[in-house]
Amino acid sequence: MTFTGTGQPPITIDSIAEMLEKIKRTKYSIGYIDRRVDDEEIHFLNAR
Amino acid sequence: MMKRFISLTLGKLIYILCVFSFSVSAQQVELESAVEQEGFDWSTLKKTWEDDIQFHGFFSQGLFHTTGNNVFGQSKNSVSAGLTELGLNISYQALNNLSFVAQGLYRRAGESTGDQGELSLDYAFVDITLLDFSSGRIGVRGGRVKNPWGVYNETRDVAFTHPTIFLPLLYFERSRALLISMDGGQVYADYNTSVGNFIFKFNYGFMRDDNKELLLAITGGADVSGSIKSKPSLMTQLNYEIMGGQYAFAITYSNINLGYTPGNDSDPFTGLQVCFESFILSAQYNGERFSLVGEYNMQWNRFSGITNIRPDTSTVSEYWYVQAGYRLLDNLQMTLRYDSGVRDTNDRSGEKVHERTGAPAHFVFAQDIVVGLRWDITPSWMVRAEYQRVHGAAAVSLLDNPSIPDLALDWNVYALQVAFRF
Repeated sequence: MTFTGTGQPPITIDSIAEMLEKIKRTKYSIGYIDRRVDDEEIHFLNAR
Repeated sequence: MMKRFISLTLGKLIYILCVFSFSVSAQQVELESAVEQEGFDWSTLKKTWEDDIQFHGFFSQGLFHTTGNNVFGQSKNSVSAGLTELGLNISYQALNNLSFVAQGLYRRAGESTGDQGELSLDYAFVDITLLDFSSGRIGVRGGRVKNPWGVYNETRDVAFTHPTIFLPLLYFERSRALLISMDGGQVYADYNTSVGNFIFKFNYGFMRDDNKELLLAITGGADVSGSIKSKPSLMTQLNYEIMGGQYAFAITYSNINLGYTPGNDSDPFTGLQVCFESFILSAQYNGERFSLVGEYNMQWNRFSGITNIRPDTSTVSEYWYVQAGYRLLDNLQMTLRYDSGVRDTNDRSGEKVHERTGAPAHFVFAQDIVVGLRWDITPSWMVRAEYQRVHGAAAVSLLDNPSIPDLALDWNVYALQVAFRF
C-alpha cells in the first residue's frame, strides 16, 4: 500500500515516552508499546 | 455495448463526485466549528499535519550474467549492472476521506532506458473515499493511477514486494509501459464479510505509451519512425481473500487499445490499430513457512489497419506459471518457479512464424525454471540471488538483443540484487 499510494503505514515512534505523549495529543488514537506504563490519561489494553 | 457501459459508468461517477463534494464541505464546516469551540491549539495542528504527510522510498541494484541472450544491458558472457530502480513517494492525508499521493521513479534498465536511466512519474492522484462503513468502503482515485494486473504489477518496481528478481513472463517486461500506471481514474470498493474480503478496482483511461521497447514489440522488431499512442483503455480486478489473506484469489480483465502515429508520409505502419484483451486468473496460498502462487493469462492480440503490408491478425497468447516458496529461516526464503509463455496458441512451436518470416521459431515461446534465494537482513535491507534456465526467447528485450536471427534457444541467467526501503 505504501508504494501504490493507496494507504499510509502506521507512524513509528522512537521511545515509549514519545508514544504516550502522541496518544494523549491525538484524539481517538491507538499505539502499541511493549510494556505497561502507568498513566491515568491513557487506557491500556493487553494484546496477546 | 462496451461504449454504452462506459458512458453509463462515467455518468454515475460524475454524479457520485457531485454528491461527494457536498459531504467534503460539510465535514470542513464541522471541523472549523469544533476548533472554535475548543479554542485553537496551534501545537496540536502542527503535529497532526506532520503525521498526515509521509515520505517513503525504495532502491535496488542488480547484477546480471547470462549466456546466449542479453538481459538489462550487455550481460552475455559478461556482467551487467543494468537494473537500478529508485522510487520516492509522498502522501498527504488531507481529510479522513481525502488524500493526495505521488511517486517518482528513476529506472535504468539496459538499452531500453540507456545508461543515464529515465525519470518518470509513477503515480500521482487524488483519492476520495465516498463511503466508509464498518465493513468496507467505496471511493475514487483520479490522476495517474496504478494498474491492477495480476498479483505483482502494482508494485513491480519495488524489489521487496515480489520474491524473485525477474517477474514471471505474464508481467511482460517489454510492455511494462502499458501496464504500470494509466492516466485516468479508478473506482475502488472493499467489502469485508464473514466469508472473506472482496477488493474491487476498475481503471479507465489512457495507458502510458512513451516507450521504444513497446514500439519494437508491437512492430515485430521493424525499425519504424512513428510512435504508439494509447486510446481509452480499461483494466479491472476483483480480489477475494479468506483467512486474513492466507488464501487469495483474483480475476483481472483488461482491454488496451492503441493506435500508431506515423513518423512520415511513407511509413508502412500508417493506420495500425492494436487491441490487447486479457484475462488473468490468480491464486495464492500464503502459509507461515510454505507459499504457493499460480497465475494464468489468456490474451487476444488484434492487429489491424495495415493490410497493404500484412493481413489483419488476431492471435491468442497464453502465459502461466506456478511458484512455490519455502521459508528456511524467518528471514531466509527459497523460491522455485516454472514459467511458460506462448505468443500464438496456433503456433506453439513457432514453425509457422519461421516459415512465414524467417525469424527463429523460438522467438515466439519461452519456458523457464527459476530458483531463487532471498535473505531479508533487516526489515529495510534485502539481498537475493537467482538462477534461471530459459528455453525460448519470446520475452527478451529487442533493444538489448537487436539481432533476432541470433537469438539463442537455450540460455542461462545468473542474477544478484540488493534492495533497500524506508
